Amino acid sequence: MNDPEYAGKLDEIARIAVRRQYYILRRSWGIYYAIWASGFTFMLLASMIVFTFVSGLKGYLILLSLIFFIALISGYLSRRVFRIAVRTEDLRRMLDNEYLTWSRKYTVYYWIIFVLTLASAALLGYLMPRYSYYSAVPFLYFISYYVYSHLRRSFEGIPPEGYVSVLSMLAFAIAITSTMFAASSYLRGMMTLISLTGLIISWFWCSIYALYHAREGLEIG
Amino acid sequence: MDDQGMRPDLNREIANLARRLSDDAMKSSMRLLIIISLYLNDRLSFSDLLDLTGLGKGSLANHLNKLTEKGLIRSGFAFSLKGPITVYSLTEEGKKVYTDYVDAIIKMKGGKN
Repeated sequence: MNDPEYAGKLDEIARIAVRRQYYILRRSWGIYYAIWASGFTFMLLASMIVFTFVSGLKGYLILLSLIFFIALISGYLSRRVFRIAVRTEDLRRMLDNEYLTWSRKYTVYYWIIFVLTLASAALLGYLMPRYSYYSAVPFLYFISYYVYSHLRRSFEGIPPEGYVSVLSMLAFAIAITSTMFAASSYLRGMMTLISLTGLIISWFWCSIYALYHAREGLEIG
Repeated sequence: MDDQGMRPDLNREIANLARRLSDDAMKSSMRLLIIISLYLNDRLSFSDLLDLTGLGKGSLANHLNKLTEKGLIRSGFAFSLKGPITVYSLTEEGKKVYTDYVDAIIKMKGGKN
């Protein structure tokens, strides 16, 4: 085999590997949704249990610690999906000879959105000192962007459950934002409970759908 | 692309990689596919590799044995919902093969990456 022929073969093998990643990635995203849906469920249960036994500032502190702990565990368990997504995207872009342009563009967008998120969180903390937990709201929008950007990195065409997961996270973020204008704490609590339950149901559905359809990726080629 | 159309350094690079990959352990495209898949995913189980390569069990085991003997991959155990499973990952030498491979692709594409 001469060199140009060999070069063509190398390219083809890499393209096959990237196409076949669809199966692994879709399955990994399915596990990711399941981990976070379970995490959100534990957060919801934790809030109910904590406020049944402890009230006031002490209750909030315990709940915040528990939420942080659950988020940390969920993040640790689900970190692999992002690593696979990044590596697959890197190889795909290299094959299409656009790695540098794409990488720069992604990094610029990422940092602009991250800085805007931090600025919004600081502004909310300043404007609403009594409800400082609302500083977390901009991060819900950031998570939506982060999930969407990694779905884009994972798949050339985002699968249906990917759109559902991002839109349901966005809907949750909007619902929590709207609780800032709610008249009573009871209404705020109810809106949070309903929107979080919706998010949990939606992400569990995304998980089941992704795991069920992952094998379709093996038929691609 | 013809021989005359390629830069001499690129020709050399690809020839080197071809030689490296043409030894007994790496002359199969399937083994290169296994190396790439293991790099992208960190580690994969035997059944994942069966799905990704589309090979039969005996054939895949044969490829994996050759790669293990060459020191490019290693096997270990991991726990899953179905119980303990055998998983494969790249050794440092295996990662080097992948890096050389990507370098060759970058040069092949004109070095703009």
